[in-house]
Amino acid sequence: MLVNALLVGLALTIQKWGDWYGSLGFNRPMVAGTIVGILLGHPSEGIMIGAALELVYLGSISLGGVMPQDFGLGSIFGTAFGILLSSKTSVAIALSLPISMLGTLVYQLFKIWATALVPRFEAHLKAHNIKAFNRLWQIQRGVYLLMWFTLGFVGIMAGTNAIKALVAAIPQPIMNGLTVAAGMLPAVGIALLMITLWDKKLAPWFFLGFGIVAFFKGTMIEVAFIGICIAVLVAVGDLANRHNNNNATPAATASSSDSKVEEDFFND
Amino acid sequence: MTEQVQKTDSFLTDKSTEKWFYRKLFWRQNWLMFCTSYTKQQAVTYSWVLEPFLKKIYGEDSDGFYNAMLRHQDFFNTTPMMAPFVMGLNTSMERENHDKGKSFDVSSIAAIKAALMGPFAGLGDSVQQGALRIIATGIAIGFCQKGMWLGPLLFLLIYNIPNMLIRWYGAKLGYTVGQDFVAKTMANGIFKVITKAVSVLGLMMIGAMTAQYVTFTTTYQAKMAGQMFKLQGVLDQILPGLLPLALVLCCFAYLRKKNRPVRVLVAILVLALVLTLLGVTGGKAA
Repeated sequence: MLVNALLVGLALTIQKWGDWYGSLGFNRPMVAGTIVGILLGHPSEGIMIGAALELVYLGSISLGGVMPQDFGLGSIFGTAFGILLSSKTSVAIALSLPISMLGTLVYQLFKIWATALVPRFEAHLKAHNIKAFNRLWQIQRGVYLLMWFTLGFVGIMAGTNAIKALVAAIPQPIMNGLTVAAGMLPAVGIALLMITLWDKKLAPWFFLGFGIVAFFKGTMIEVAFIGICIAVLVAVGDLANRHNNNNATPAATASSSDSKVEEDFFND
Repeated sequence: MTEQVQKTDSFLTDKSTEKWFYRKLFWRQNWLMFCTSYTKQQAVTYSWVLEPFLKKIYGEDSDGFYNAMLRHQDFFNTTPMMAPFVMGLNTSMERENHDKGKSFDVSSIAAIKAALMGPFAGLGDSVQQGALRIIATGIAIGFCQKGMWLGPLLFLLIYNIPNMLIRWYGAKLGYTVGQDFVAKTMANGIFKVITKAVSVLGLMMIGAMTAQYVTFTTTYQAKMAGQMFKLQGVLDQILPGLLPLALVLCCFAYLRKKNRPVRVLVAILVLALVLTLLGVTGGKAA
Protein backbone atom coordinates (compact mmCIF):
# COMPACT_ATOMS: atom_id res chain seq x y z
CA MET A 1 0.00 0.00 0.00
CA LEU A 2 2.76 2.40 0.97
CA VAL A 3 4.64 1.79 -2.27
CA ASN A 4 1.49 2.14 -4.34
CA ALA A 5 0.60 5.37 -2.57
CA LEU A 6 4.06 6.78 -3.27
CA LEU A 7 3.80 5.75 -6.91
CA VAL A 8 0.38 7.34 -7.38
CA GLY A 9 1.71 10.50 -5.72
CA LEU A 10 4.54 10.49 -8.25
CA ALA A 11 2.11 9.84 -11.11
CA LEU A 12 -0.03 12.78 -10.06
CA THR A 13 3.02 15.03 -9.83
CA ILE A 14 4.21 14.05 -13.30
CA GLN A 15 0.74 14.56 -14.70
CA LYS A 16 0.38 18.01 -13.15
CA TRP A 17 3.86 18.98 -14.30
CA GLY A 18 3.22 17.99 -17.92
CA ASP A 19 -0.20 19.60 -17.85
CA TRP A 20 1.40 23.00 -17.38
CA TYR A 21 4.97 22.63 -18.61
CA GLY A 22 4.73 23.49 -22.27
CA SER A 23 1.08 22.36 -22.21
CA LEU A 24 2.31 18.87 -23.09
CA GLY A 25 -1.17 17.44 -22.72
CA PHE A 26 -0.42 15.17 -19.74
CA ASN A 27 -3.74 16.21 -18.25
CA ARG A 28 -5.62 14.23 -20.90
CA PRO A 29 -7.03 11.07 -19.35
CA MET A 30 -5.40 8.94 -22.05
CA VAL A 31 -1.96 10.12 -20.97
CA ALA A 32 -2.76 10.25 -17.24
CA GLY A 33 -4.05 6.69 -17.36
CA THR A 34 -0.89 5.60 -19.15
CA ILE A 35 1.34 7.21 -16.51
CA VAL A 36 -0.47 5.52 -13.63
CA GLY A 37 -0.53 2.24 -15.51
CA ILE A 38 3.22 2.27 -16.12
CA LEU A 39 4.05 3.17 -12.53
CA LEU A 40 1.69 0.60 -11.01
CA GLY A 41 2.97 -2.07 -13.39
CA HIS A 42 -0.23 -2.50 -15.43
CA PRO A 43 0.44 -0.37 -18.51
CA SER A 44 -2.17 -1.80 -20.86
CA GLU A 45 -4.93 -1.66 -18.22
CA GLY A 46 -3.93 1.93 -17.56
CA ILE A 47 -4.12 2.82 -21.24
CA MET A 48 -7.52 1.15 -21.61
CA ILE A 49 -9.06 2.80 -18.56
CA GLY A 50 -7.51 6.07 -19.75
CA ALA A 51 -9.21 5.65 -23.11
CA ALA A 52 -12.59 5.08 -21.45
CA LEU A 53 -12.05 8.16 -19.28
CA GLU A 54 -10.95 10.16 -22.32
CA LEU A 55 -14.34 9.62 -23.89
CA VAL A 56 -16.03 10.93 -20.73
CA TYR A 57 -13.85 14.01 -20.50
CA LEU A 58 -13.31 14.67 -24.19
CA GLY A 59 -15.35 17.84 -24.02
CA SER A 60 -13.62 18.94 -20.84
CA ILE A 61 -10.82 21.39 -21.14
CA SER A 62 -9.27 24.00 -18.90
CA LEU A 63 -9.32 27.38 -20.54
CA GLY A 64 -8.06 30.65 -19.17
CA GLY A 65 -7.77 29.21 -15.70
CA VAL A 66 -11.41 28.12 -15.69
CA MET A 67 -11.43 24.48 -14.76
CA PRO A 68 -14.89 23.11 -13.99
CA GLN A 69 -13.51 19.62 -13.47
CA ASP A 70 -9.98 18.59 -12.66
CA PHE A 71 -10.24 15.68 -15.05
CA GLY A 72 -6.49 15.02 -14.87
CA LEU A 73 -6.73 14.40 -11.13
CA GLY A 74 -9.95 12.44 -11.59
CA SER A 75 -8.26 10.27 -14.21
CA ILE A 76 -5.23 9.55 -12.05
CA PHE A 77 -7.33 8.42 -9.09
CA GLY A 78 -9.96 6.71 -11.24
CA THR A 79 -7.30 4.66 -13.05
CA ALA A 80 -5.36 4.00 -9.84
CA PHE A 81 -8.41 2.68 -7.98
CA GLY A 82 -9.48 0.79 -11.07
CA ILE A 83 -6.12 -1.01 -11.16
CA LEU A 84 -5.64 -1.42 -7.39
CA LEU A 85 -9.16 -2.72 -6.72
CA SER A 86 -9.12 -4.56 -10.07
CA SER A 87 -12.61 -3.33 -10.72
CA LYS A 88 -14.60 -2.59 -13.83
CA THR A 89 -13.95 0.44 -16.02
CA SER A 90 -17.37 1.83 -15.15
CA VAL A 91 -16.30 1.92 -11.50
CA ALA A 92 -13.17 3.86 -12.46
CA ILE A 93 -15.35 6.36 -14.33
CA ALA A 94 -17.86 6.66 -11.52
CA LEU A 95 -15.05 7.30 -9.01
CA SER A 96 -13.27 9.82 -11.16
CA LEU A 97 -16.35 12.05 -11.51
CA PRO A 98 -16.74 13.23 -7.89
CA ILE A 99 -12.94 13.26 -7.43
CA SER A 100 -12.48 15.50 -10.46
CA MET A 101 -15.02 17.93 -9.06
CA LEU A 102 -13.43 17.94 -5.61
CA GLY A 103 -10.04 18.42 -7.26
CA THR A 104 -10.97 21.87 -8.49
CA LEU A 105 -11.39 22.91 -4.85
CA VAL A 106 -7.80 21.95 -4.07
CA TYR A 107 -6.57 23.91 -7.03
CA GLN A 108 -8.68 26.93 -6.17
CA LEU A 109 -7.19 26.96 -2.68
CA PHE A 110 -3.71 26.92 -4.17
CA LYS A 111 -4.60 29.69 -6.58
CA ILE A 112 -5.85 31.85 -3.72
CA TRP A 113 -2.45 31.39 -2.07
CA ALA A 114 -0.68 32.23 -5.35
CA THR A 115 -2.83 35.35 -5.62
CA ALA A 116 -1.86 36.39 -2.09
CA LEU A 117 1.80 36.10 -3.12
CA VAL A 118 1.50 38.51 -6.06
CA PRO A 119 2.04 41.68 -4.01
CA ARG A 120 5.09 40.09 -2.41
CA PHE A 121 6.68 39.44 -5.80
CA GLU A 122 6.15 43.09 -6.61
CA ALA A 123 7.51 44.22 -3.27
CA HIS A 124 10.71 42.24 -3.86
CA LEU A 125 11.17 43.96 -7.22
CA LYS A 126 10.52 47.39 -5.73
CA ALA A 127 13.14 46.62 -3.09
CA HIS A 128 15.54 45.70 -5.95
CA ASN A 129 15.87 42.19 -4.57
CA ILE A 130 15.86 39.85 -7.54
CA LYS A 131 17.20 36.96 -5.47
CA ALA A 132 14.19 37.01 -3.17
CA PHE A 133 11.94 37.28 -6.22
CA ASN A 134 13.50 34.19 -7.77
CA ARG A 135 13.45 32.30 -4.48
CA LEU A 136 9.76 32.99 -3.99
CA TRP A 137 9.06 31.81 -7.53
CA GLN A 138 10.93 28.56 -6.91
CA ILE A 139 9.05 28.03 -3.64
CA GLN A 140 5.75 28.59 -5.38
CA ARG A 141 6.57 26.06 -8.06
CA GLY A 142 7.85 23.57 -5.49
CA VAL A 143 4.75 23.87 -3.33
CA TYR A 144 2.55 23.38 -6.36
CA LEU A 145 4.21 20.10 -7.32
CA LEU A 146 4.59 18.88 -3.74
CA MET A 147 0.92 19.57 -3.08
CA TRP A 148 -0.12 17.14 -5.79
CA PHE A 149 2.35 14.51 -4.62
CA THR A 150 0.94 14.71 -1.11
CA LEU A 151 -2.61 14.60 -2.37
CA GLY A 152 -1.92 11.48 -4.44
CA PHE A 153 -0.12 9.78 -1.57
CA VAL A 154 -2.73 10.57 1.08
CA GLY A 155 -5.60 9.81 -1.30
CA ILE A 156 -4.39 6.25 -1.86
CA MET A 157 -3.22 5.63 1.72
CA ALA A 158 -6.43 6.83 3.33
CA GLY A 159 -8.84 6.23 0.49
CA THR A 160 -8.33 2.72 -0.85
CA ASN A 161 -10.22 0.81 1.86
CA ALA A 162 -12.90 3.47 2.16
CA ILE A 163 -13.38 3.53 -1.60
CA LYS A 164 -13.57 -0.25 -1.66
CA ALA A 165 -16.36 -0.18 0.92
CA LEU A 166 -18.05 2.72 -0.83
CA VAL A 167 -18.04 1.03 -4.23
CA ALA A 168 -19.59 -2.06 -2.68
CA ALA A 169 -22.21 0.07 -0.93
CA ILE A 170 -23.35 2.18 -3.90
CA PRO A 171 -26.80 0.94 -4.92
CA GLN A 172 -27.16 -0.11 -8.55
CA PRO A 173 -29.64 2.66 -9.57
CA ILE A 174 -27.23 5.35 -8.34
CA MET A 175 -24.41 3.65 -10.21
CA ASN A 176 -26.56 3.67 -13.35
CA GLY A 177 -27.31 7.34 -12.77
CA LEU A 178 -23.60 8.12 -12.51
CA THR A 179 -22.95 6.29 -15.77
CA VAL A 180 -25.68 8.37 -17.44
CA ALA A 181 -24.15 11.52 -15.98
CA ALA A 182 -20.74 10.49 -17.33
CA GLY A 183 -22.21 10.50 -20.81
CA MET A 184 -23.84 13.89 -20.36
CA LEU A 185 -20.97 15.75 -18.69
CA PRO A 186 -18.87 16.39 -21.82
CA ALA A 187 -21.61 18.90 -22.71
CA VAL A 188 -20.20 21.32 -20.13
CA GLY A 189 -16.70 21.34 -21.56
CA ILE A 190 -18.03 21.62 -25.10
CA ALA A 191 -20.19 24.58 -24.06
CA LEU A 192 -17.17 26.28 -22.49
CA LEU A 193 -15.14 25.76 -25.65
CA MET A 194 -18.03 27.14 -27.69
CA ILE A 195 -18.05 30.36 -25.69
CA THR A 196 -14.47 31.09 -26.70
CA LEU A 197 -15.15 30.47 -30.39
CA TRP A 198 -18.69 31.74 -30.69
CA ASP A 199 -19.73 34.31 -33.22
CA LYS A 200 -23.36 34.52 -34.33
CA LYS A 201 -22.34 34.65 -37.96
CA LEU A 202 -20.31 31.45 -37.62
CA ALA A 203 -23.04 29.46 -35.81
CA PRO A 204 -24.03 27.43 -38.91
CA TRP A 205 -20.60 25.78 -38.96
CA PHE A 206 -21.25 24.32 -35.52
CA PHE A 207 -24.49 22.78 -36.77
CA LEU A 208 -22.79 21.53 -39.92
CA GLY A 209 -20.19 19.70 -37.84
CA PHE A 210 -22.96 18.27 -35.69
CA GLY A 211 -24.96 17.20 -38.72
CA ILE A 212 -22.07 15.40 -40.44
CA VAL A 213 -21.67 13.13 -37.41
CA ALA A 214 -25.30 12.87 -36.28
CA PHE A 215 -26.85 12.22 -39.71
CA PHE A 216 -24.07 10.72 -41.79
CA LYS A 217 -22.12 8.95 -39.00
CA GLY A 218 -18.95 10.84 -39.87
CA THR A 219 -15.85 10.45 -37.69
CA MET A 220 -13.88 13.28 -36.07
CA ILE A 221 -11.11 12.84 -38.64
CA GLU A 222 -13.58 13.19 -41.50
CA VAL A 223 -15.03 16.33 -40.00
CA ALA A 224 -11.53 17.71 -39.47
CA PHE A 225 -10.70 17.03 -43.12
CA ILE A 226 -13.79 18.83 -44.39
CA GLY A 227 -13.35 21.54 -41.75
CA ILE A 228 -9.80 22.36 -42.83
CA CYS A 229 -10.93 22.70 -46.45
CA ILE A 230 -13.73 25.04 -45.43
CA ALA A 231 -11.45 27.06 -43.13
CA VAL A 232 -9.01 27.61 -46.01
CA LEU A 233 -11.85 28.63 -48.32
CA VAL A 234 -13.13 31.11 -45.73
CA ALA A 235 -9.66 32.59 -45.22
CA VAL A 236 -8.96 32.90 -48.94
CA GLY A 237 -12.34 34.54 -49.50
CA ASP A 238 -11.77 37.03 -46.69
CA LEU A 239 -8.28 37.88 -47.88
CA ALA A 240 -9.59 38.57 -51.37
CA ASN A 241 -12.35 40.77 -49.94
CA ARG A 242 -9.88 42.65 -47.80
CA HIS A 243 -7.71 43.43 -50.80
CA ASN A 244 -10.67 44.65 -52.78
CA ASN A 245 -11.69 46.92 -49.94
CA ASN A 246 -8.16 48.20 -49.59
CA ASN A 247 -7.99 49.05 -53.25
CA ALA A 248 -11.36 50.73 -53.16
CA THR A 249 -10.43 53.17 -50.41
CA PRO A 250 -8.18 56.00 -51.54
CA ALA A 251 -6.27 56.02 -48.23
CA ALA A 252 -5.08 52.48 -48.71
CA THR A 253 -1.40 51.98 -49.23
CA ALA A 254 -0.10 50.08 -52.22
CA SER A 255 -1.47 46.59 -51.80
CA SER A 256 1.49 44.97 -53.52
CA SER A 257 3.83 45.89 -50.68
CA ASP A 258 1.19 44.74 -48.22
CA SER A 259 1.08 41.26 -49.63
CA LYS A 260 4.86 41.06 -49.58
CA VAL A 261 4.87 41.68 -45.84
CA GLU A 262 2.25 39.00 -45.36
CA GLU A 263 4.34 36.50 -47.22
CA ASP A 264 7.21 37.24 -44.91
CA PHE A 265 4.92 36.72 -41.95
CA PHE A 266 3.93 33.26 -43.10
CA ASN A 267 7.27 32.13 -44.46
CA ASP A 268 9.38 32.87 -41.45
CA MET B 1 15.95 39.08 -42.00
CA THR B 2 18.60 37.53 -39.77
CA GLU B 3 21.33 39.48 -41.56
CA GLN B 4 19.62 42.72 -40.69
CA VAL B 5 19.41 41.69 -37.06
CA GLN B 6 23.10 40.94 -36.92
CA LYS B 7 24.01 44.35 -38.28
CA THR B 8 21.92 46.52 -36.01
CA ASP B 9 21.16 44.43 -32.93
CA SER B 10 22.76 45.58 -29.71
CA PHE B 11 21.31 42.65 -27.77
CA LEU B 12 21.93 39.63 -29.99
CA THR B 13 25.40 40.82 -30.85
CA ASP B 14 26.72 37.55 -32.25
CA LYS B 15 25.61 34.09 -33.31
CA SER B 16 26.26 32.46 -29.94
CA THR B 17 24.21 35.08 -28.06
CA GLU B 18 21.43 34.55 -30.55
CA LYS B 19 21.52 30.81 -29.91
CA TRP B 20 21.63 31.38 -26.17
CA PHE B 21 18.63 33.72 -26.32
CA TYR B 22 16.33 31.49 -28.33
CA ARG B 23 17.23 28.35 -26.42
CA LYS B 24 16.92 29.99 -23.02
CA LEU B 25 13.64 31.62 -23.98
CA PHE B 26 12.31 28.31 -25.23
CA TRP B 27 13.11 26.41 -22.02
CA ARG B 28 11.89 29.18 -19.75
CA GLN B 29 8.63 29.95 -21.55
CA ASN B 30 7.47 26.35 -21.04
CA TRP B 31 7.04 27.21 -17.36
CA LEU B 32 4.60 30.03 -18.08
CA MET B 33 1.62 28.43 -16.33
CA PHE B 34 3.53 28.03 -13.02
CA CYS B 35 1.82 29.60 -11.15
CA THR B 36 -1.15 31.65 -12.22
CA SER B 37 -3.05 33.93 -9.86
CA TYR B 38 -6.56 35.30 -9.95
CA THR B 39 -5.44 38.90 -10.13
CA LYS B 40 -2.55 38.78 -12.59
CA GLN B 41 -2.86 35.33 -14.20
CA GLN B 42 0.47 34.58 -15.92
CA ALA B 43 2.12 37.93 -15.18
CA VAL B 44 4.61 36.95 -12.46
CA THR B 45 6.03 34.06 -14.45
CA TYR B 46 5.99 36.14 -17.63
CA SER B 47 8.45 38.51 -15.99
CA TRP B 48 10.42 35.54 -14.64
CA VAL B 49 10.79 34.20 -18.20
CA LEU B 50 12.16 37.51 -19.45
CA GLU B 51 14.43 38.04 -16.44
CA PRO B 52 17.80 36.92 -17.91
CA PHE B 53 17.22 38.88 -21.11
CA LEU B 54 16.23 42.06 -19.31
CA LYS B 55 19.31 41.58 -17.15
CA LYS B 56 21.50 41.42 -20.23
CA ILE B 57 19.84 44.41 -21.90
CA TYR B 58 19.79 46.78 -18.93
CA GLY B 59 22.64 45.39 -16.86
CA GLU B 60 22.50 43.47 -13.62
CA ASP B 61 20.85 45.22 -10.67
CA SER B 62 20.31 48.39 -12.66
CA ASP B 63 17.25 50.60 -12.23
CA GLY B 64 16.36 49.93 -15.84
CA PHE B 65 16.24 46.21 -15.13
CA TYR B 66 13.95 46.54 -12.12
CA ASN B 67 11.71 49.01 -13.91
CA ALA B 68 11.40 46.56 -16.77
CA MET B 69 10.60 43.68 -14.39
CA LEU B 70 7.92 45.79 -12.71
CA ARG B 71 6.53 46.74 -16.10
CA HIS B 72 5.90 43.07 -16.82
CA GLN B 73 3.89 42.55 -13.62
CA ASP B 74 0.83 43.74 -15.53
CA PHE B 75 -2.02 41.30 -16.00
CA PHE B 76 -1.26 38.83 -18.76
CA ASN B 77 -3.25 35.84 -19.93
CA THR B 78 -3.17 34.02 -23.22
CA THR B 79 -2.81 30.52 -24.60
CA PRO B 80 0.68 29.50 -23.40
CA MET B 81 1.51 28.22 -26.88
CA MET B 82 1.08 31.75 -28.28
CA ALA B 83 3.04 33.54 -25.55
CA PRO B 84 6.59 33.08 -26.95
CA PHE B 85 5.75 35.36 -29.87
CA VAL B 86 4.77 38.13 -27.46
CA MET B 87 7.87 37.45 -25.36
CA GLY B 88 10.15 37.69 -28.38
CA LEU B 89 8.46 40.88 -29.47
CA ASN B 90 8.67 42.37 -25.98
CA THR B 91 12.38 41.55 -25.75
CA SER B 92 13.08 43.36 -29.00
CA MET B 93 11.06 46.34 -27.72
CA GLU B 94 12.95 46.39 -24.43
CA ARG B 95 16.17 46.46 -26.42
CA GLU B 96 14.85 49.35 -28.47
CA ASN B 97 13.82 51.13 -25.29
CA HIS B 98 17.30 50.74 -23.89
CA ASP B 99 18.96 51.89 -27.13
CA LYS B 100 16.75 54.86 -27.84
CA GLY B 101 16.19 56.06 -24.30
CA LYS B 102 13.59 58.78 -23.95
CA SER B 103 12.62 58.85 -27.60
CA PHE B 104 11.01 55.42 -27.17
CA ASP B 105 7.47 55.24 -25.86
CA VAL B 106 7.73 52.76 -22.96
CA SER B 107 3.98 52.36 -22.60
CA SER B 108 3.90 50.65 -25.99
CA ILE B 109 5.51 47.56 -24.41
CA ALA B 110 2.56 46.95 -22.11
CA ALA B 111 0.12 48.14 -24.76
CA ILE B 112 1.19 45.56 -27.32
CA LYS B 113 0.88 42.78 -24.71
CA ALA B 114 -2.61 43.89 -23.84
CA ALA B 115 -3.53 44.18 -27.49
CA LEU B 116 -2.20 40.76 -28.45
CA MET B 117 -3.26 38.51 -25.58
CA GLY B 118 -6.97 38.52 -26.42
CA PRO B 119 -6.80 37.71 -30.12
CA PHE B 120 -3.94 35.27 -29.47
CA ALA B 121 -5.95 33.42 -26.83
CA GLY B 122 -8.86 33.08 -29.23
CA LEU B 123 -6.59 31.86 -31.98
CA GLY B 124 -4.48 29.61 -29.78
CA ASP B 125 -7.37 27.95 -27.96
CA SER B 126 -9.20 27.16 -31.14
CA VAL B 127 -6.07 25.77 -32.80
CA GLN B 128 -4.88 23.80 -29.79
CA GLN B 129 -8.05 22.71 -28.03
CA GLY B 130 -10.61 22.88 -30.81
CA ALA B 131 -8.60 21.37 -33.63
CA LEU B 132 -5.21 19.88 -32.73
CA ARG B 133 -6.28 18.02 -29.62
CA ILE B 134 -9.45 16.66 -31.18
CA ILE B 135 -7.62 15.40 -34.26
CA ALA B 136 -4.87 13.82 -32.15
CA THR B 137 -7.43 12.17 -29.87
CA GLY B 138 -9.49 10.94 -32.80
CA ILE B 139 -6.47 9.18 -34.26
CA ALA B 140 -5.12 7.82 -30.97
CA ILE B 141 -8.21 6.67 -29.12
CA GLY B 142 -8.76 3.52 -31.14
CA PHE B 143 -5.28 2.24 -30.26
CA CYS B 144 -5.78 3.20 -26.62
CA GLN B 145 -9.01 1.24 -26.39
CA LYS B 146 -7.05 -1.85 -27.37
CA GLY B 147 -4.48 -1.05 -24.69
CA MET B 148 -1.75 -0.41 -27.24
CA TRP B 149 1.30 1.77 -26.52
CA LEU B 150 0.94 3.39 -29.89
CA GLY B 151 -2.19 5.22 -28.68
CA PRO B 152 -0.77 7.58 -26.05
CA LEU B 153 2.46 7.87 -28.06
CA LEU B 154 0.64 9.01 -31.20
CA PHE B 155 -1.46 11.43 -29.21
CA LEU B 156 1.57 13.07 -27.61
CA LEU B 157 3.42 13.34 -30.92
CA ILE B 158 0.55 14.71 -33.02
CA TYR B 159 -0.41 17.14 -30.28
CA ASN B 160 3.03 18.32 -29.23
CA ILE B 161 5.06 18.60 -32.43
CA PRO B 162 3.00 21.55 -33.74
CA ASN B 163 2.75 22.88 -30.17
CA MET B 164 6.54 23.04 -29.82
CA LEU B 165 7.16 24.31 -33.37
CA ILE B 166 4.74 27.19 -32.82
CA ARG B 167 6.54 28.08 -29.59
CA TRP B 168 10.04 27.91 -31.09
CA TYR B 169 9.32 29.80 -34.29
CA GLY B 170 6.84 32.10 -32.55
CA ALA B 171 9.65 33.44 -30.37
CA LYS B 172 11.94 33.96 -33.36
CA LEU B 173 9.22 35.63 -35.38
CA GLY B 174 8.22 37.83 -32.46
CA TYR B 175 11.77 39.05 -31.98
CA THR B 176 12.48 39.72 -35.63
CA VAL B 177 9.28 41.26 -37.01
CA GLY B 178 9.08 44.21 -34.62
CA GLN B 179 6.11 46.08 -33.25
CA ASP B 180 5.46 48.26 -36.28
CA PHE B 181 4.79 45.18 -38.31
CA VAL B 182 2.48 43.75 -35.64
CA ALA B 183 0.56 46.99 -35.36
CA LYS B 184 0.19 47.11 -39.12
CA THR B 185 -0.88 43.49 -39.30
CA MET B 186 -3.48 44.01 -36.61
CA ALA B 187 -4.75 47.12 -38.32
CA ASN B 188 -5.12 45.48 -41.70
CA GLY B 189 -7.10 42.65 -40.18
CA ILE B 190 -5.06 39.56 -40.99
CA PHE B 191 -5.43 38.28 -37.42
CA LYS B 192 -9.16 38.51 -37.78
CA VAL B 193 -9.04 36.52 -40.98
CA ILE B 194 -6.95 33.73 -39.41
CA THR B 195 -8.96 33.66 -36.21
CA LYS B 196 -12.19 33.47 -38.15
CA ALA B 197 -10.95 30.61 -40.30
CA VAL B 198 -9.74 28.65 -37.28
CA SER B 199 -12.97 29.39 -35.43
CA VAL B 200 -14.88 27.88 -38.34
CA LEU B 201 -12.81 24.71 -38.02
CA GLY B 202 -13.11 24.75 -34.22
CA LEU B 203 -16.86 25.20 -34.29
CA MET B 204 -17.25 22.35 -36.75
CA MET B 205 -15.14 20.12 -34.54
CA ILE B 206 -17.13 20.89 -31.40
CA GLY B 207 -20.36 20.43 -33.32
CA ALA B 208 -19.04 17.01 -34.28
CA MET B 209 -17.98 16.37 -30.68
CA THR B 210 -21.49 17.16 -29.53
CA ALA B 211 -22.90 14.44 -31.75
CA GLN B 212 -20.11 11.95 -31.12
CA TYR B 213 -19.21 12.23 -27.47
CA VAL B 214 -22.19 13.59 -25.57
CA THR B 215 -24.25 10.51 -24.73
CA PHE B 216 -27.78 11.32 -23.69
CA THR B 217 -30.30 8.72 -24.74
CA THR B 218 -33.54 7.63 -23.16
CA THR B 219 -34.42 4.02 -22.47
CA TYR B 220 -38.06 4.60 -21.57
CA GLN B 221 -40.56 2.32 -23.19
CA ALA B 222 -44.18 1.41 -22.50
CA LYS B 223 -47.03 -0.48 -24.08
CA MET B 224 -49.61 1.91 -25.41
CA ALA B 225 -52.76 0.79 -27.16
CA GLY B 226 -51.14 -2.54 -27.86
CA GLN B 227 -48.10 -0.95 -29.47
CA MET B 228 -44.61 -0.65 -28.07
CA PHE B 229 -43.81 3.00 -27.44
CA LYS B 230 -40.09 3.77 -27.41
CA LEU B 231 -39.28 7.34 -26.44
CA GLN B 232 -35.82 7.30 -28.04
CA GLY B 233 -37.26 6.05 -31.33
CA VAL B 234 -39.58 9.05 -31.47
CA LEU B 235 -36.78 11.44 -30.58
CA ASP B 236 -34.54 9.97 -33.26
CA GLN B 237 -37.27 10.47 -35.81
CA ILE B 238 -37.49 14.15 -34.92
CA LEU B 239 -33.73 14.65 -35.13
CA PRO B 240 -30.87 12.24 -34.47
CA GLY B 241 -28.82 13.51 -31.56
CA LEU B 242 -31.56 15.89 -30.46
CA LEU B 243 -30.97 15.46 -26.73
CA PRO B 244 -27.15 15.94 -26.78
CA LEU B 245 -27.59 19.01 -28.98
CA ALA B 246 -30.22 20.49 -26.68
CA LEU B 247 -28.07 19.76 -23.62
CA VAL B 248 -25.01 21.47 -25.09
CA LEU B 249 -27.01 24.49 -26.22
CA CYS B 250 -28.64 24.82 -22.78
CA CYS B 251 -25.23 24.67 -21.05
CA PHE B 252 -23.86 27.16 -23.54
CA ALA B 253 -26.75 29.60 -23.10
CA TYR B 254 -26.43 29.46 -19.31
CA LEU B 255 -22.64 29.63 -19.14
CA ARG B 256 -22.50 32.57 -21.51
CA LYS B 257 -24.75 34.57 -19.20
CA LYS B 258 -23.38 33.33 -15.90
CA ASN B 259 -19.94 31.82 -15.75
CA ARG B 260 -20.69 29.14 -13.14
CA PRO B 261 -19.56 25.82 -14.58
CA VAL B 262 -19.62 23.97 -11.26
CA ARG B 263 -23.34 24.67 -10.88
CA VAL B 264 -23.95 23.22 -14.32
CA LEU B 265 -21.96 20.11 -13.43
CA VAL B 266 -23.97 19.54 -10.27
CA ALA B 267 -27.22 20.21 -12.12
CA ILE B 268 -26.31 17.57 -14.72
CA LEU B 269 -25.43 15.03 -12.03
CA VAL B 270 -28.77 15.61 -10.31
CA LEU B 271 -30.66 15.51 -13.60
CA ALA B 272 -29.00 12.23 -14.56
CA LEU B 273 -29.79 10.64 -11.18
CA VAL B 274 -33.41 11.82 -11.20
CA LEU B 275 -34.02 10.72 -14.77
CA THR B 276 -32.48 7.34 -14.03
CA LEU B 277 -34.55 6.83 -10.86
CA LEU B 278 -37.66 7.77 -12.85
CA GLY B 279 -36.72 5.13 -15.38
CA VAL B 280 -36.32 7.52 -18.29
CA THR B 281 -32.61 6.88 -18.76
CA GLY B 282 -30.03 4.33 -17.72
CA GLY B 283 -32.18 1.25 -18.14
CA LYS B 284 -31.38 -1.61 -20.49
CA ALA B 285 -30.95 -0.31 -24.02
CA ALA B 286 -34.33 -0.20 -25.69
